[in-house]
Amino acid sequence: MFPRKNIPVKKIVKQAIEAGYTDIMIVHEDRNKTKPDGIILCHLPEGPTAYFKINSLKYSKEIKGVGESTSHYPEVILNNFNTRLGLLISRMLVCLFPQDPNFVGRRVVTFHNQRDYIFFRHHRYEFKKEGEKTALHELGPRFTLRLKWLQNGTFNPTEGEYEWVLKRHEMETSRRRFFL
Amino acid sequence: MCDAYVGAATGAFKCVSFKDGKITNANTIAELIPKETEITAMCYGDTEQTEVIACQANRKIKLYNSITNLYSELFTVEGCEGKIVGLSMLAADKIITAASSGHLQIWTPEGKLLTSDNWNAGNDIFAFDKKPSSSSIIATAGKENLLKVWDVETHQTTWSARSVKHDKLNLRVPILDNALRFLNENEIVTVTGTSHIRIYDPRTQRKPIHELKYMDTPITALSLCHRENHIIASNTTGEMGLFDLRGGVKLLYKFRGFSGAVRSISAHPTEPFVISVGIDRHIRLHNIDTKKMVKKIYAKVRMNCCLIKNQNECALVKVEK
Repeated sequence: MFPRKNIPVKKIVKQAIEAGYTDIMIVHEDRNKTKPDGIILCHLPEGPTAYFKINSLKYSKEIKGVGESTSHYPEVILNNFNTRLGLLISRMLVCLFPQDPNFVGRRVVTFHNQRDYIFFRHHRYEFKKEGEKTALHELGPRFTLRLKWLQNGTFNPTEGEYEWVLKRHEMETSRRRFFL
Repeated sequence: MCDAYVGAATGAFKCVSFKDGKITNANTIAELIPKETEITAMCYGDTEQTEVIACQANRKIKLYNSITNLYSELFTVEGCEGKIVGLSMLAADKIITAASSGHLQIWTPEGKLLTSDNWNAGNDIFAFDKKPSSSSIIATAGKENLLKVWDVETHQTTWSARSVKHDKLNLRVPILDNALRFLNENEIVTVTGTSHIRIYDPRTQRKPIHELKYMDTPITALSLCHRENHIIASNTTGEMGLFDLRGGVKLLYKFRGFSGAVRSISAHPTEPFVISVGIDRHIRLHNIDTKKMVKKIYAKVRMNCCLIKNQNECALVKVEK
């Protein structure tokens, strides 16, 4: 995790591809520098770039009764990503985590999609009553993401081709049609 | 009945029927290798539109015969690099191809190269078109490659454009023509990666006579339509608009219903229908006069090119809500 120090994003992308990274995540903060506002998620080397807006962020310190997180590789749960676009986004999010979950750690990260909002939650679970009930202990931050656009290729908003753009006036006319 | 032909980025050649809402593949999908067989350009093989010529990323030219429903290979374009950007039938037995390395070549349908000299339009061609009323005039344009009008018989430039003035910040405007069309007997329309739509008139001057900056993302697709001196253009965020080019470039209205970049637009020459195709995996049919989207069909792959047929049943399609 590094601060960006005003280096142009395209340069960062180039250096990261050479260094062999699989994804880049850049977190924006809002103008008053109070809280994170958006995430640019760029899959390397030539993968799609997605831009999410962050709503309702709560840090671990603000959550009541929060537990301490460990360093076990978590299991990732993806809920309700039904459309083609949703599957693409869910796979992009999964790529951020290592692919072999440590079940011993009982640590789970959930991306739940509902009505085009993706809810991120981070829990430790424990099975009670011989596997019939689970108790969840919340760890880590919670926030919701909203996909603003998905672009083909690495980060290039001026010249790249957009596979999906959220156009509020055109797309949000129906209360039942969702895109993710 | 087949209303349109669509070429996909995986190489699938699809026949679309809007009335039935069905798409059928003309070639077998299992044999396709997307990086090699991606369809980069398409054109009609004859005036009756029974044959469609498509070219792939590996520069193989394929012929689709709509009567026999066969998708067969004609020949491979050699002697150039990059993908084939434009393709056109010059006469009944001559096909002209333009590759992105700049090589312009004329072939017989059997694959014999008719042009023996190195006819090159410069590096990085993105746009190519043949003048519809004549079989010996074509135009090319591209990245840092100004618009040039060529005579097919002499392989010489009959007219070339000059670059535009610096912009308001006194910076050089990059030359990035993405598509071009011969508008009528005298004028040529180009759309650029700097979001400009420009009209050139070779009779008067070498700089564009009219220019419009349409939004701020690159404009990638262009088509003439049934109204004279009107064009339909679309950019990478899926804003497709109808423009009136009489006395300037004016946006009349935008078409609704897009969510992603549009790569190709094909409008019917006399009926008010236009189909558009892009990387959001949908084929859309719009009615230009009523401005409504008539039909949207989900084709599972990203698409590169489309062609609408002169004889179609688009008028019979029920407008979907």
